[in-house]
Amino acid sequence: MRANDIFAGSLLVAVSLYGIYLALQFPSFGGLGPAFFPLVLLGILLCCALALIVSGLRKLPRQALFELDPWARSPRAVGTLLLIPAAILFYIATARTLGFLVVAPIIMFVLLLWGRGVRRAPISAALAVIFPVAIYWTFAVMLRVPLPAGILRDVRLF
Amino acid sequence: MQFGELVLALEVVLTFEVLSVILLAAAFGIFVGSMPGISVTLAIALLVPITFFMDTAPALAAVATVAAIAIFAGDLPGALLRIPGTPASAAYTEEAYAMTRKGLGSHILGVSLICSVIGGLFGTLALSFIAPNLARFALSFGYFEYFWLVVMGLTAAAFVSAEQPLKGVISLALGLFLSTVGFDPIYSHPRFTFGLIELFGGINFIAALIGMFAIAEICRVFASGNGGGKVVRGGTNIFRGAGPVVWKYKGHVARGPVIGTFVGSLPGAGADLAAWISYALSRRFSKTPKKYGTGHPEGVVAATSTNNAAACGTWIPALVFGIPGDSVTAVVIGILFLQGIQPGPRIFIDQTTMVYAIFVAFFIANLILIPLGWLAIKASGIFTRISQVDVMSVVLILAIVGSFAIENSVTGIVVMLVLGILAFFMQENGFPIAPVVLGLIMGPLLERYFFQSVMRSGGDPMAFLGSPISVVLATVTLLIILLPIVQRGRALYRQHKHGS
Repeated sequence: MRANDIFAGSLLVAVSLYGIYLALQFPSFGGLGPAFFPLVLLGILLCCALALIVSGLRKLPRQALFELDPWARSPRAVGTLLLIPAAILFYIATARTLGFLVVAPIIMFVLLLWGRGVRRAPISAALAVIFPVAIYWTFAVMLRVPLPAGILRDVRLF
Repeated sequence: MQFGELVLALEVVLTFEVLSVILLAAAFGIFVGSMPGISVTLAIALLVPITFFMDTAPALAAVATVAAIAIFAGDLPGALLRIPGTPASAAYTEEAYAMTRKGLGSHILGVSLICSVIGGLFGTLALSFIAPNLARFALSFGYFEYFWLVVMGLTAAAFVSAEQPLKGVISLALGLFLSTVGFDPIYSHPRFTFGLIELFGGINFIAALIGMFAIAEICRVFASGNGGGKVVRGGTNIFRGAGPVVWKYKGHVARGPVIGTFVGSLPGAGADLAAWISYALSRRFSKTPKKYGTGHPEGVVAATSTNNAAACGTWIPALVFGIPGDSVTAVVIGILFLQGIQPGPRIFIDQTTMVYAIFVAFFIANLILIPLGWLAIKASGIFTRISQVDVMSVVLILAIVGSFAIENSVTGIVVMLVLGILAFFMQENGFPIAPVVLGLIMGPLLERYFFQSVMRSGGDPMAFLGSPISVVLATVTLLIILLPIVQRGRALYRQHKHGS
């Protein structure tokens, strides 16, 4: 989804101003304190954001305010887009309790179903188990990354 | 170079034991380099306990091999999936991916392989023959020079990475600003942490890298409904046509490794910064700068030879002074101590055989990069037979695990998610992603060099241009900034002259 630069510029102006407000509250420790570097950067950001708004205004006659890619026009596409953050949030919420080897296959299965269609469910299910197991073996067993064991905590794996 | 010692080193390295270790390390390097969640530093750190049980020669050979190979391997997912395997490949990921979209994926990877090998061999030769001299010059870099070097590299990244330099600058400023989250490096005052313990350590750049490149790309693939679309790689012969391309841009292939070796030998500046500087400079010297960003091999040729040379260059200060060139060589210094080798000027006198053994190992690693890299490119061809959605589903799980693995905490995953969504909308609106990551990495360094320079200058701003090196670097920076303005001006002038 492309928005005219005015929106990006305005958002950045707001962020910069808020950041400057926060930074100005840092103590100065006599001399250039911790606020100096962020203030310089926020200043640059602010100037660029204003320039962006100007450039957006100049493009206004020719360019639409909002532009949606063809794919973004369908609700299915928007749903697909939201699927990824939803999957990640689902992982964050449940992985500790359920364990990686439960949550990851669920996520993969849902994604594969969505992408490949319900007809190819059996293969999708197989893939949804094989890959997380392989990844678990690589990272948790070989590289000793403490992926959450969850409900499989008491099961001896590998 | 004492040839007697070199022969001894060859005898030590060219044994079944060391050579098989090199081969295994090379395979490990390919794997590590092509996984966006595993950094080269992590990989080398994982090797440390294994090196306990090894003799000195195989231990050092293993580490050198992993470093040399992984830098190339980062190009594979970069070109095929638009997700760089290592930050060093981020400078030209967009370019390489654009070429893959044109059906030239194999081709650009073949070109990248050849240039990587050339760069690596050059870096090895530089390391072997001129290490002490280069290290002495690198030592003449003080705070001011470092400050300008980082400014130059960052400016290059901002101005070269986007259609509109303004958006490149915004991306860079954003990345630099994000790097200030957490405790500040001078006074340890918490900045922008909103009281959250998780933010005290700042925003981890690997999680950011994964989020901004991988998550954004996954969203894009899923959203555009590319269910049946396959990654077009095109062409089975990887090296066909690669030779002429490399020869055509031989200037960049010649210049790239020099930049890489030099920037790599500066402690703190690594392959990432070197690759960006090289990419930007290649555009400056290019006869067809307009083609950059459309899928043009020139920038890739320059940058990929640079980062392989830089991977060797970082060993120069490490060996000669015990000062790490980057985080990888910091671990290497630890390994050297564990093996009873003291880095420092005397290393070339007391431990000549082992030092030469390192050079030989680097040399061999860069040579086996050719067949191994070819195999890796061929193997990555499997992505053409799988639909993008399937690939991205697996990549998502890998991304989650990778972000978690950095600090074994969920914070990494959250950072990945937030920045991923941000990156998605940024890219939709023409804001480049790579400068954000570079800003995140370089921000703390830039701030530290700036403060140290200010303290050293005693309040005198002219001290910033006190040395010839500073003046040169500052001038180059200015040129990079003025370049688009000059080009715009020239275009407008031509338009005016010919009467539009």
